[in-house]
Amino acid sequence: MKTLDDKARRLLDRLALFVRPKATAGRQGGHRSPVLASGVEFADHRPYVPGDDFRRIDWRAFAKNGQLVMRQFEEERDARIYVLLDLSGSMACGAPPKIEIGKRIAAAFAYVGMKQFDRAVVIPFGAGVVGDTRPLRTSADLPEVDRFLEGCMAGGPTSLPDAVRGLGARFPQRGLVVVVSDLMSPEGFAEGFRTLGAVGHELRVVHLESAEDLAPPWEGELELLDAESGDKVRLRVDARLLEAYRKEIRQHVGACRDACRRAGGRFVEVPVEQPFELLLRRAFAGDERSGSRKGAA
Amino acid sequence: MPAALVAALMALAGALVLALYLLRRTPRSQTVSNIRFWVKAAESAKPRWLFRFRIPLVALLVSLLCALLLVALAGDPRFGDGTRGTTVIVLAAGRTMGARDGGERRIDRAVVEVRRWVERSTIEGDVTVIRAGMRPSVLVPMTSRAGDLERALAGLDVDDGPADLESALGVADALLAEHLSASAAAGAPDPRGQIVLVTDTAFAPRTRASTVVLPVGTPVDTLAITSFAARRVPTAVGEYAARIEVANFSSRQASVRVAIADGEVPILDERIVLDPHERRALEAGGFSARRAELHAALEAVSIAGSSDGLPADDQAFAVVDALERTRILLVTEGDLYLEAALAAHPGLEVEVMNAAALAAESAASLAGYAGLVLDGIALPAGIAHPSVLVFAPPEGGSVALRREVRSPRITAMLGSHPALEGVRFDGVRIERARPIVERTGDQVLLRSDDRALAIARSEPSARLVVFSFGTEDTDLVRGEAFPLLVHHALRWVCDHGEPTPLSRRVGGALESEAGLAITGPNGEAIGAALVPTVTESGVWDLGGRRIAFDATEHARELGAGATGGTFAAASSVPPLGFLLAAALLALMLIEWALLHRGRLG
Repeated sequence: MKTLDDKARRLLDRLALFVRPKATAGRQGGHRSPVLASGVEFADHRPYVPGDDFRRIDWRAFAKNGQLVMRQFEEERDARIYVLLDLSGSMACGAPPKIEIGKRIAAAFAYVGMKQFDRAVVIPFGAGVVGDTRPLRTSADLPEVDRFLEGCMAGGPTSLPDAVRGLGARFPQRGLVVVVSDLMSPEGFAEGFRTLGAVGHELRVVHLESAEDLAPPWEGELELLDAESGDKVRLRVDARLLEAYRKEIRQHVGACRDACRRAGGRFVEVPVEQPFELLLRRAFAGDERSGSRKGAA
Repeated sequence: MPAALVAALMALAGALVLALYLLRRTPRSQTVSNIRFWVKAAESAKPRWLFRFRIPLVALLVSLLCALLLVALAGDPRFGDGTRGTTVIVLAAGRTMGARDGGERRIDRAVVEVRRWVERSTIEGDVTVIRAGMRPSVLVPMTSRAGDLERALAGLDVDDGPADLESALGVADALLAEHLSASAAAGAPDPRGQIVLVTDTAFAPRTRASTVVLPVGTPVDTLAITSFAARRVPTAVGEYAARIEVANFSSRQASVRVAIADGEVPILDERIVLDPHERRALEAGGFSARRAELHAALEAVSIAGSSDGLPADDQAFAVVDALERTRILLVTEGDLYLEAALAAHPGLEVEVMNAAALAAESAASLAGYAGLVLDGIALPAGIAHPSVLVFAPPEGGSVALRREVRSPRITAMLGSHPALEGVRFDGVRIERARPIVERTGDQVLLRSDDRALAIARSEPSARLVVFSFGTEDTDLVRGEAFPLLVHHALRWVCDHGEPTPLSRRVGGALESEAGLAITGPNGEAIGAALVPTVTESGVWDLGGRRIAFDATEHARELGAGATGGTFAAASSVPPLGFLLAAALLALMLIEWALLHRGRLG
């Protein structure tokens, strides 16, 4: 199964992931890093101290000022792209099912990371980390991502904090963490976002919005079945209850968004009912409300 | 309304309410991403303290409407302003009202119409219902309470004979006039009244009051037994024969199985095919029995493209009485015709003597005979007998005679008299006769212009049949029916137990002696010793004597008199009570639907 068709890949070929310097890794790559060393991008001057490489002395500045100063360059390094895909039972809901869109978005982030020679890892999670791909570096590894995602099935509960702990245990290096989830659990997401920010990851949350979750159309006497736990509850759904539900969801999503922002992350809302190309643009662009840099991708 | 119908409606309503309840208590199942959001929402949406007990406004309104409708139903609501004044409803209950038009009996349809009229008429006036069967009867006296009439209409059935609409309308007219005059005398302003006739027969009412005719019924096909009789075979001791005639009152070919049974013993079982409007007679004979009780039935009636509309005309009954030895004295100078006719009857014990021997008899010795047959001889002076059959009476006998006439032509006969049952006098020639001077009370059996050729006289203690001609003066004796004539005449003169001749057709009277019990065809005991009009065909029991009454002579086409199924009265709207109940049910359904969809929560 190909998660990304040619049209999507052509679109993704024009996109790039920018990672903040502090979240870059140790190998040479395409991202600016906080390390000043050899490179091509001029960063600053500093006084010469014995032992410095003569080749980096700025002779023009010496001629002008009579002082030996060293030219410093930003070192460009690669980054690790961790794509955390929510595999909880709630992801099977919606039309189309959120898990299908989530898989394609996860593959898209991995593809863009691989294309720019970052190391992309797809990590599905539910109550904890379910598994992961090996760090993939080239776009030729996309079929491996496809095969891996094909085996991922939605089901069971969600716990982002446990997943974050699992991530830290397996991959201690900092990087860009893309959380692809519907956020349909009242607890855990805000804590997980805070932890990721505190660890030093750059965070990007792709919230898969489903109309069924945000504004369900049901009315009347209903027996509601929890897609994750299997619990049942019987309610008479009327306008008042629907309004209260919508309010609950708004508050929950707002809390997740705030936690994401406080962790220095970017929060993107993606309605799953939209065409996939438009949906990809939203996932990679972010929105204005998040305050993130426009045209980051 | 019949109790069964009420029970059925209540059961239906109960089942509906139960179904609604079950439907209401069975919510739809819906998978959601996480029910904890819903639970929290439900907690936050729960009404605060006093509002928790608030009844949803629409549900409250619906409940109030239901309560109002219940109160309205308790008030027995009616449509419109009803019929003013007094209404007398005449409901035909003749045999044809039992015909089925499209699965429904005409009488049932008519009762529905009567109920509607009762409902309308009892709002502002009094009403009574007259059942127009073979004899009119008032079902319930004049009343303004619909419940009384409802009870009277319950279980109403039809007679086996034609409805006497003329008499019923006469009764209705008289009742109405009497009631209106009483109302006027009581000071009622402008008393008005009308007669409503519900019938399946085209009838032009001639009444003083205005009459509304509500025709019921449409023409239907039927097969019927038009004649059924059984009698002893005169030439064979103990045997009897039966004859049945079946008619196809339809324009289609029909087939039917004709079955005649004596109790449980079948004596005829034959399938016949009848062309449109064909009549066919079947006979069966040679059956020996001391007595027989015959039941004829048409079974498995099949009419091409139609069905038998009236099952009531598919049955007939007959009884062959047991033979009883009867001593008869024939006084003759040698009449072989009479001797042969009397000898043909297996139940008669005949003794023959001449006039000289008769003169030596006394009244006491003659009392030992059940009947006397006098051939040209009169009883000696001072001697009388209660049962006498006389041929060619001499001058100075029990009847006064006129001057002899030659070749008198029979111009009239009293065919309904039991003495002439089954005998026709067409073509009978009489050479000479001495007409009888009839007395008041005499029934003239045969008449030639204004001359009485035969009479039947019935007195409290004696019966007499006199033929004014002798056996040698007529060719009647050469006919096969002559023994039958003698037997029937003897049976009548000897049958003193019956004050009135028994009629074997429905519509006649049935009277028993004091102390004898009368039992109807279905085994029901009749309290009175007199049934003025037998309206039900079947075999009746009169103190152990079985008497068959059948209605075959009333069989005729169904629909010749029907005037169609449309009603003059605008009574097509169902009763208001039903409409209100339907509205109640609709409201409950709406409430349920709204609740189910969460509109009222």
